[in-house]
Amino acid sequence: MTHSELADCYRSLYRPLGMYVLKLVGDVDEAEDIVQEVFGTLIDRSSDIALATVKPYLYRSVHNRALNWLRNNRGETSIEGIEEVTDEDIDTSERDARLWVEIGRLPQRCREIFLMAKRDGLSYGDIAEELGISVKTVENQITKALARLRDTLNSRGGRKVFFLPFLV
Amino acid sequence: MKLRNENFDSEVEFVARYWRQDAFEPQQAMERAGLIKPMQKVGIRLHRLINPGHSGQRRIWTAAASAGVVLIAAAAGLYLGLRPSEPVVDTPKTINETVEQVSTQQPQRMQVKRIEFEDASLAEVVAAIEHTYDVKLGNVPESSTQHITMSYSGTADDVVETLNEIFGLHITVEDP
Repeated sequence: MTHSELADCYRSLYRPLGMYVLKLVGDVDEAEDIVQEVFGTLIDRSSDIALATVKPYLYRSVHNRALNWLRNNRGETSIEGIEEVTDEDIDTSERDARLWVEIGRLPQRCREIFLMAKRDGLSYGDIAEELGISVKTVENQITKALARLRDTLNSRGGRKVFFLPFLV
Repeated sequence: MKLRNENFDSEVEFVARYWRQDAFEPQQAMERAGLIKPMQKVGIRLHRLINPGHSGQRRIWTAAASAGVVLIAAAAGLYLGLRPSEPVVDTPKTINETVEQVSTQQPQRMQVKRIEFEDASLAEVVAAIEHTYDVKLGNVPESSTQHITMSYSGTADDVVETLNEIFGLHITVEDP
């Protein structure tokens, strides 16, 4: 794999892999560490790995490391239902990655309200009171956020698929 | 439909539960891995949106860095779901003119346009994007010493996303 192919792998797979591992380990920092370690191995072995096989290789690698982490840190000796990575797992991780990006693109106020509801578990009334706005405004902002997120998943395959040179 | 909605709801709940700014950023991951240098150190600058007739001199290293940014930024502007319905007129007249998409049915935010900067401050870049695409940018850092040289073709969201990825920002695009 060339340097540019490695960079493309980062751009297209780093976040989906992170989402996949996050679902297993339930911790953002640990998930990112695992993915970063696997990419480090990929860099070291880049001359041995063909581009066509890198995606399944990465998913298998992070999967195995995540299971090891669960065994070592959570004492989970019996991990059922996650013995291997399925195509559905990969599709889900890619959708989750697009959602992750789109949440970051929400207007600041909209994202703040949305996360207070979905991440912090606050009621619309509590959010309205804390921010000094109406409950209706809270509802509208969350509806707006959900609509954008739904549009993101409904768009064809995500925003970026290929990197092509452009001659100015 | 119900199952699809349930999947959507559960996926949103999952992602929102853990969402954190600056997490799972490929650009930062590549920098940590030493795969690329932080963009500021490479001396990438965006061309200032200059008036016609400006006679600034180009340095060879600026041209080389700008070419690299153009390749990355222009490639990131190709989206399957956002291809323009009519071909983009690809004949710029001067360095700082934007080329507007022939179709005017889409809102300006969604139109593919070319925008160029030379040694522009972030504030100048933001103002130019807002003016060109008729949008409002949010979450712009108040103080930034970054200077940007870039030639880019894409929608407003494309340009901002590229800026965010290259410079580690979190600027958002909002309707005016």
